Amino acid sequence: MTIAHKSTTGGLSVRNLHKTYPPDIVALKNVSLELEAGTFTAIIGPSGCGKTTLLKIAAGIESYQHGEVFFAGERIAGNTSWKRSVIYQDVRLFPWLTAQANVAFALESKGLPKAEARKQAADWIKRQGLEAHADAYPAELSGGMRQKIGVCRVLANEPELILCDEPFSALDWTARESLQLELLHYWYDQRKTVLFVTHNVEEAVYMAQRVVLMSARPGVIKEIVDVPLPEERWDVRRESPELLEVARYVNNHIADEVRKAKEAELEVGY
Amino acid sequence: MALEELRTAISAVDRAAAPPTTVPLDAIPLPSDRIINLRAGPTVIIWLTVLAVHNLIPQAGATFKVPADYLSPAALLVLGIALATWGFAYIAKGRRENVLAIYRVLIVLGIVLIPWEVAERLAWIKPPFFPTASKVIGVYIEDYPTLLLSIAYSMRLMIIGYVIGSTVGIFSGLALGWSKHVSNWAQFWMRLIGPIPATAWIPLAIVIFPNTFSAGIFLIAFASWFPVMMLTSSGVAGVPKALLEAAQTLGADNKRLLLHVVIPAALPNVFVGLFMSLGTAFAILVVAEMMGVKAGLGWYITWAQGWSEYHKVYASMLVLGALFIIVVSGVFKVRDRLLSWQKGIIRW
Repeated sequence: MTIAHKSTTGGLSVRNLHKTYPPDIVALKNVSLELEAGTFTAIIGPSGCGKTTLLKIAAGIESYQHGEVFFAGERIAGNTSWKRSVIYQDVRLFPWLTAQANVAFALESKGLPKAEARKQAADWIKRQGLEAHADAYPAELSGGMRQKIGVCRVLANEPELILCDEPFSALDWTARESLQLELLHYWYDQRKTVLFVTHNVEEAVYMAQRVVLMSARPGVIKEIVDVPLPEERWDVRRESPELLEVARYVNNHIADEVRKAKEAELEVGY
Repeated sequence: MALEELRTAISAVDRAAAPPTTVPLDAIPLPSDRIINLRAGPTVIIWLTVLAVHNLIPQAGATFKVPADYLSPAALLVLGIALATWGFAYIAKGRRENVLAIYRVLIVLGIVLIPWEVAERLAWIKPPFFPTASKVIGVYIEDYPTLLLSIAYSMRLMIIGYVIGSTVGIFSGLALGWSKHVSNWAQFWMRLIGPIPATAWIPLAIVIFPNTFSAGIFLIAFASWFPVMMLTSSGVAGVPKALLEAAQTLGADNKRLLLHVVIPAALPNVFVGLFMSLGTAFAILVVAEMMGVKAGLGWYITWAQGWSEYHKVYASMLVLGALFIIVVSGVFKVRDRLLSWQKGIIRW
């Protein structure tokens, strides 16, 4: 698959990555993964398979023992940058800043002057139709609204690699759908590289061009499945046969992995 | 498709329900007329009793000269206030909670005054250790210039010492909580030196500092430093890792992390420290002034005690209490302004 992409974005390259949590829990074992610039990839697997660990390593907020991780030619080993931003499941807005100030915080962190950051944040808030909540503190907002601001905060920064750590799994149905489409449209327009970690098969298949299946303990990549659907996913109905077929295939694999993980746990005697 | 229709229907319902129905906070019911009358009536009766006990019971024992009577005017003033607020409660119904708070204070004060006044009149208790209420009130009228000057001196010493102590406390707490090196090297010594009571430093302070004023500042600063430092450092150490990571992945550097994440996140803790140290600073203030500083309320108390003027001691003790309330509410005002995000809906 070839994709015309902007030269500003880069690809993520993971080679023979190995991560062990003390004392001897192998989170990632010999993981290699290439994300071409401008692609949308989902990682799916049973809980504890190391998918979040992989994402954190790419963000630079987690260390690793062996292997190499590169993004756009730069080696990543515990170094963070606005170029590799994370949309977190628990949102992580700063509770002492208003919604708009949270967005401005991101832009200022990127290096924009204060006045410019404030102006762009206001623009972003307006463009997302959130003016009514611009001056609200996170505690005053609903969960869906908070994640809207959280997504807005990351997208406003225009990172080159957007890392999504189960970003919509705690949201209600309507909020999830609207944010999924939001992200899809952004990706379609901007062609940034997206790595989307989820445990929701339907979501992974609906969002991504490629779905990476991981197995648990130790975390290894089992299989990479291409999703043969057009990039304009908003035209695809969520219960279209093609989509359901891919989902069923992925689901069966995951079910296998979950069963294996359970057996392993029983053997070890957790 | 049916499923699609159902989804549209659900999202339509969700949208309709979207504007949250906020319950206004001031929806708490106002105190009824009956409650107001049940507080105002007894207040008036109790203070009439105070007046009656004071003026109708003849003074037992010999008195050389009749001292100036300050209790009668004070009681009349209180009665005036009680009647005025009674009327006020019917005009400004929104302020009824405040009116009730005034009544509660006046009722308790009156109930304390009645047995005190009876005991004085019947000469069950004797001056100078237990002066009449009238004499205590008289201090505020006869000796107010000295009292005001003492308040000014005390507040000067207190504020200088407290500001220095808490500033050093905040900075050392930040260093201790933020830097692993500082904490590894200094933690032990801070924990050893910090809990030594400020009063134990008095002998050294007197030797080191050129005058008692600067020694007093040192003692107050020392007393307020430790609680502020400990709570600031624990606040910094307790900043959620999740928020630090969020800031880092948005591109924040270390300076930005410290100024815009760590400090705001630790601020609630810092204010707990500031509040705690205020109490110890106040105690040390009085001790310092009793030990050698030649001005202030502590000095006033010692001086009055020397002349056996216990009514002045009690009067200035009440002033100390009132000052503490004022200073604490000042600190709380600053806190409420800086931490308005914690209160959610209420903002200034």
